[in-house]
Amino acid sequence: QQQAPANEAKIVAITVPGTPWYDSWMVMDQRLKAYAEQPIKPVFYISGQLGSEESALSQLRRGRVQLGGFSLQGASSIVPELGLLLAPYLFDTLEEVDFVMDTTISPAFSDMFASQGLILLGWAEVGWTNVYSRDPIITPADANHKKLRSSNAKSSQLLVQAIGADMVPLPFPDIMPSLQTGLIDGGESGSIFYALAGIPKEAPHLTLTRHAFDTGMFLANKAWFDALTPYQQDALRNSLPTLQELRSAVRASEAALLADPASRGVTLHQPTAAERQLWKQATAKNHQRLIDGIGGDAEKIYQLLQEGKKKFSTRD
Amino acid sequence: MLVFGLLVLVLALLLLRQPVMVILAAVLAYSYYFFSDSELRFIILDAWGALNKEVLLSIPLYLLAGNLMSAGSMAKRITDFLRELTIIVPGGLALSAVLACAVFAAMSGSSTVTLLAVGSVLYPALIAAGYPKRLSIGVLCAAGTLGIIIPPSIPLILYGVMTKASIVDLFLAGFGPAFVLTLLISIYVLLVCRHMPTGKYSIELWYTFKRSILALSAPALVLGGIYSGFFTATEAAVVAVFYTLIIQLLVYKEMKWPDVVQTTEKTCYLIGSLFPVLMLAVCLNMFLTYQQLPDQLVLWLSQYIDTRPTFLLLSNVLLLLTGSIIDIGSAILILAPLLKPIANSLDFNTIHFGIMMIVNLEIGYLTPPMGLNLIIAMSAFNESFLEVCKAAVPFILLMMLGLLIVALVPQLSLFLI
Amino acid sequence: MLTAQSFLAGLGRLERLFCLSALAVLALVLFVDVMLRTFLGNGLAWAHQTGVYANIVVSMIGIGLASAHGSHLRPRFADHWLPAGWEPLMLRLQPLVTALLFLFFFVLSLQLVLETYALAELSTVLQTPVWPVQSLLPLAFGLACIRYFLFALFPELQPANSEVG
Ligand code: NA
Ligand code: NA
Repeated sequence: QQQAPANEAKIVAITVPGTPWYDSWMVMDQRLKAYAEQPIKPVFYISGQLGSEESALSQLRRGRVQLGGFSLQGASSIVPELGLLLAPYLFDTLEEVDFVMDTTISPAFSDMFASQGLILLGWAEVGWTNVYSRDPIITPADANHKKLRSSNAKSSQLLVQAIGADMVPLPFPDIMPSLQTGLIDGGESGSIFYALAGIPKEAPHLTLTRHAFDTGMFLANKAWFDALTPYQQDALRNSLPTLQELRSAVRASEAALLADPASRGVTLHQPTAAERQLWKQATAKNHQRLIDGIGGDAEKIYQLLQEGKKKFSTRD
Repeated sequence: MLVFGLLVLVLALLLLRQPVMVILAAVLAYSYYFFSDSELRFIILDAWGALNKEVLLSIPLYLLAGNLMSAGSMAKRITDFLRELTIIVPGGLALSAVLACAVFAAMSGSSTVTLLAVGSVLYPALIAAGYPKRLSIGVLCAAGTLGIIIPPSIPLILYGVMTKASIVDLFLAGFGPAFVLTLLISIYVLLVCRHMPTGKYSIELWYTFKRSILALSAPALVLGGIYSGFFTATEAAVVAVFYTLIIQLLVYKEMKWPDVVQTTEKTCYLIGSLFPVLMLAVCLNMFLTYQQLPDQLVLWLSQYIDTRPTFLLLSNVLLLLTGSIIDIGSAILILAPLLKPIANSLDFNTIHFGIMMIVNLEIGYLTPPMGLNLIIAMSAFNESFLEVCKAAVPFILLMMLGLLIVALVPQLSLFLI
Repeated sequence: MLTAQSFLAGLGRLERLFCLSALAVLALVLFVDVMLRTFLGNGLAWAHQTGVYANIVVSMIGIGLASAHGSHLRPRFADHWLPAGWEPLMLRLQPLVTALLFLFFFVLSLQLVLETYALAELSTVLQTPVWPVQSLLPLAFGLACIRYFLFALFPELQPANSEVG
């Protein structure tokens, strides 16, 4: 049996070159190289070549790989309560997101990950989720009996149902062919991903519903991390991009996209306050449905979120 | 030394008359133990990952649909009609197999599904009509690969996402090369079959058409259903199963319930012998990915690349090598981000390079040891691996000719964009 | 030997029952999903993952069926490389080696399932524990091991070779 070098860290993620998330790993690589006697030597499997998130997470927990980047949906297969963060209109503004994430969420979830043998090294912003479609869907009424693609996330399925659309759960590669044949009329997605996957050509209407805020996270195998020297641990923690860095990268990337939608063949719809209220109303019951569907500590975490929101509104 | 040990192991298992499944499993265990820092038990984790995937779902269902059609008379009715329809052309039935693959490919994003959907009905018919075994296997395996170059195509989508190229442009770019490949295969078939007996159109054509209307509606239902957005190509398999059952049980009344059970059981034997091999092939793929073998090949080759011709030559050699040992999805995830910047720096168009890459990896479906269509054909057509490999050889050469054309004539890919 | 024979016969019947039902479940669940979506708008979000699990049942339990039926693919070009006098020995040695390899994979997969159980892994889609379905791997390998051991002990129980290679 061969032995991996002691300072090697195999890293798993599903990212695409040229996106903030892929770049964040390259930034980490550069920073680690700047240390004297490179404390950690990363080996990257970050294009999804080691399989789905469910499978990658399984390999991380078993120590086959040591470090990884995951989405909320992927990580919710071991901490189902994470699915709550995708509840519709949980957050109103980016400032609120930042405040609640920083003050309330991290400590609670750190403990939950630790009990699953993982270390939460940091959060990675993914951004607002919006609705795209072949014909404009400005209000939930426009979605009535439209066929919308849902992902495997409970929140995604609840959203599609709550606005009266027909739910078509599909794996990612089926999105484009299904838009072409009319199996689906649209779906929900972050805007960067929407543009990247070439969806605008078939479904050019993007409504900035901003109904959910998606977040990724950096996780390490706890047994491996605990066995590192303090020098290595610090080097790793300090080399990963901070949430602030990722936030600005993702938000800049999204702003660039939204500033010139026409060049990408996108017709942008910005709901008015009244229209946004309609979306909120239509999906209001989804919070309780999510809590019930997730079970476990969902109720407790939800209370925590609400306290965080309250603290935000009364902060000075 | 370790490689020598591996060869001895394989030889010993061959002498001990072990099944393919056992030989593959032993090779994997040996490789995980001696060539990798990955623990042995992760073989099973990879095997589980290979099985726990949605992409494989349509394989058992198309196998079942094909077996049901052949157990009743639907397959025979369809092929009788096709034979009458193409009777004036020598090799007409083989030609219609090629065209049927191309038509199905236009609805399906996968090559193995295309091979199975068409092959399970047409392979027995080709043999019954006196076509040489090797030609029949080769034609179906090769035309089956059209599934990923004729849009829609899962590999083209993956390439588009990985390189930020427009998926719609990639789909458009696939048509020209797909046409050339279909034409090449068709011409070859007609040349090989030029001495096969022909006939004249007769009233038989009308009779066989009348007899096969309901049977012909099966492919029409499948294709129409996918095309008008009622179901995906995966789900189409199950529609085909139920349509076949209804027609053969209730309309033709030629099948009874025990026949259905018996055919289903036969399909289970087939799945039980095919899936373990498929699963272990995916494990081997995981092993090579984990060892970063394709990445290292690129790194090693890129030091020799400085001009457009050397890039064309070396990247194609690399892709052909990679395609023969790992599966096309992994090859794209790993190689597209590595090769695209080199291609761009030498002024190759991203779309054109992508199409070239897909055509190249398409050949990997036909190249041993890990050619997926070879493995599927071996088990679905009940032929030896050696026989299937031999059958594929002329078609590999043919598709390499196609690859050469695609690589040297960018306009073939780019004229629609 | 009679006990072994009836054991294998009973095992075969069980495997057949499981495979047929699983393949039927796979077809039905996908069909119902398509029909519901076409006629009522909404499909079943869990249909595909359930289908995947049913397919795993067919594939793994099918290993046993294929063994009993002699339909595992086997390369045969080396069959005449050994002296003809070895034939009686080969009749026992061949299944014995297969049995040993399955034993090895049985142990490996049992380890994996125990670990999965300890980690309490859940299916992302169904939110159900993964280990019960994963247990099909050690089950299939274990049963195959027993079957080939019996083939080695009682060569006359081996299926007539219908396999190709
Ligand atoms: Na296709
Ligand atoms: Na291959």
